[in-house]
Amino acid sequence: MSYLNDLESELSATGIPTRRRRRILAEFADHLHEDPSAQLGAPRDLARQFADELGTRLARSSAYRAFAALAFCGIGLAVMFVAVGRMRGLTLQGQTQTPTPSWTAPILLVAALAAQVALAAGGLALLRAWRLRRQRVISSRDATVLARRSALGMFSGALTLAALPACALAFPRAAGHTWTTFAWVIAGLGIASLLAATPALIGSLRLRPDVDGHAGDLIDDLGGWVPRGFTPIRVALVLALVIVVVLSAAGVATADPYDGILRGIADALACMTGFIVLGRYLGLRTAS
Amino acid sequence: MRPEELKGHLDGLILAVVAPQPLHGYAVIEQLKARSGGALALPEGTVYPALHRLEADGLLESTWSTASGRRRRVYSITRRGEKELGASRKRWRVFAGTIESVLA
Repeated sequence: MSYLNDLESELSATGIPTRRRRRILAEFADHLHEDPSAQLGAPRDLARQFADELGTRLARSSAYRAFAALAFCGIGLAVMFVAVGRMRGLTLQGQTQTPTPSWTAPILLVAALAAQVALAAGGLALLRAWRLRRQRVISSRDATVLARRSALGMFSGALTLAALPACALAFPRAAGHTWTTFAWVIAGLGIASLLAATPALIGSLRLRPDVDGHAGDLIDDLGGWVPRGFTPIRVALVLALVIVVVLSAAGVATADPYDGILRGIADALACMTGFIVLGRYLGLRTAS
Repeated sequence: MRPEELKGHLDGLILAVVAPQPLHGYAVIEQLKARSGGALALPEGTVYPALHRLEADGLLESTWSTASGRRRRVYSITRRGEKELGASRKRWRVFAGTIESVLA
């Protein structure tokens, strides 16, 4: 039975979870019982094949789950803002109208940025997972990019949700009882959904494919959606421009064009900063 | 037939042999050999990772059964697996037809 012992060691070394390992060993033991001279292959190669195939699936499913959890959080936040109709009480403008502790401004800023990072990272994780959906085995670099995007999205989503109760505490009068209740409920449900997606992410970090290959960049992710000759930085610049135009138009629509333009420029700068700082880490610019 | 020639077709082959009746891993490999007249002589162990992946993808499902006091995992095809098998057969006919028309 030394073959099975070797196989168990190799499966363990590649990160195959205990339950799965036991099942594999039972199947191989049954196979060897049927045919003791069976040529099953080298234990190391087999363990690697299990890790590559199952790790690929885990990497993709963790990205899908991360996006689903973030989408749930986003829908919850949207429902809360629409239902309560207290958005102005949450803005920095509202803060100047109501006496609030000094720590609220950084929290609001972090929450606003984290929400956008969560949206971007979660969306990019989904995009990459979808692009690789038909691949039996993905490269270890692709798996790394998927894990980073999912992890950053979930972490940023958790930051955003954690800021909700803080905002409710900071703006008790502006927010009101209904808003405070909503804030705690949405934060609780959102954190629960992110926690539910966490085991898949941890699993994908433990069991990873070990296959050479390039991870590509944002252009590969977008495929036919971008014109030929476009580079990742050009895509980021176009997106930043779109943000300026949309937010400026929103400002005009609400009879506050200067506020809209300022917000648009601030968001566009945040977008470009995010691209420059996180572009390589998230596999947007070049293979990580 | 060399193992590398099976790349891209192994999933369809496994689904095809499991489709008529549930099979355990060893029987899947024996069926592949029997139905190919012994031509599909791939390293036997490589079928198991594919079985696990196909199950994780929802194309197969499996349960434990007992035979002569030994536990064995028995695989059967799912509705999604049947659809995939149909698509796989279609892809193969198009591919084989194209190659045939060029080679003939």
